[in-house]
Amino acid sequence: MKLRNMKYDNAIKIDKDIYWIGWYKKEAPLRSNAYLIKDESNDTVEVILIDPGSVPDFPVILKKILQVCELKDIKYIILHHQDPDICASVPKIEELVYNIGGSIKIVTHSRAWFLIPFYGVRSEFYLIDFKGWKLELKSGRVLRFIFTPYLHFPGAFVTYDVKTKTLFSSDLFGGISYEFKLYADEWYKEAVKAFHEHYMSHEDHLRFAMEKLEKIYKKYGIKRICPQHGSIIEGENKVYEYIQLLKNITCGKYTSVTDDLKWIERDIRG
Amino acid sequence: MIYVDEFLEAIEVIAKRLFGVYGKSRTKVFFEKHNITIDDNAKILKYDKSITTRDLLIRILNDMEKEFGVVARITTKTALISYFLKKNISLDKFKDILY
Repeated sequence: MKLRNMKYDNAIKIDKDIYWIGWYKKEAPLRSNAYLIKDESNDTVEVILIDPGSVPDFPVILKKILQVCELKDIKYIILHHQDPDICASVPKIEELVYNIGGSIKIVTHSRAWFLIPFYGVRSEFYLIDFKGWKLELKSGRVLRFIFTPYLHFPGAFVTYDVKTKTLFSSDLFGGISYEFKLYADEWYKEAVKAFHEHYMSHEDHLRFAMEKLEKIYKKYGIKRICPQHGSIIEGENKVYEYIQLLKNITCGKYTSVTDDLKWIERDIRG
Repeated sequence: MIYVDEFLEAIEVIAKRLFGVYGKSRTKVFFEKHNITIDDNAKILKYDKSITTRDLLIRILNDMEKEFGVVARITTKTALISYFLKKNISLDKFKDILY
């Protein structure tokens, strides 16, 4: 599909069976990207929703889900962490699916499992750190999970779809940009830096995660990165460039410049 | 780029960041308002020499928040911190700019 013809109010196919079903609003700095995998084999269909969004996003995302699949086929929801912009709509999705006799498993890390139930979620949990960091679908398709602690949550992780070599990267590789483009352009690196420099805790954490992703890139290949915010990074060369970018940026430096110290020091002096 | 000192280079760092967050056209218009012309690679072609480059940087930072809002403040200040650290320039020297 030509970029200029893209209509963001519909689901957009980004690979044979992967769809962008995100929320788009003009003039917003941080939009949420939700994704859908529709895995078909013989007579079975299994749909996996990835970070399906907030309550305000829900009508738009539901419309896009229905463009691509039937609700009864939703079997898993991957929640990369517990933030409301990715999780808050889950009870609404559950209500629709359970009302027609379906059932869902919530795929997440045990750290997020402490918090996600506070949204009123009722599905069974599939805790990746107790399941060998992988999920195997009925078709045999395998999703691998990579732990990215403290980026930006202690239990943060990303998902690698072995079949399509797609990395669903949660907040990693996300960007802040008022000019939304589904695919990263020449200035997206600045948008990525803008997001990571102040949002991620420390460059040591970032480097630790990037070194793992680089190993996966070299061994298996990563064809695209689908972040939760910002633009999709498409193509292996570009993916490599962005891994290098995040290996080498500075972040977590609020400790160096924070003017609350002024009143703390003043009060200590008396 | 005509001449670069650490403040002018810092202004280019801001220009690049605004390109990524707000797009080229909005950024260029904002810089023109401050008599700074930048090219499509966020390089400075022409700037106001009636004030020091340090004051020019401060003027841009102060006005930028009014023009673009609080997101611009957060994203450009972290860009400046990264730039100064990369250049091994003590952040203490820029406390009045970075606060």
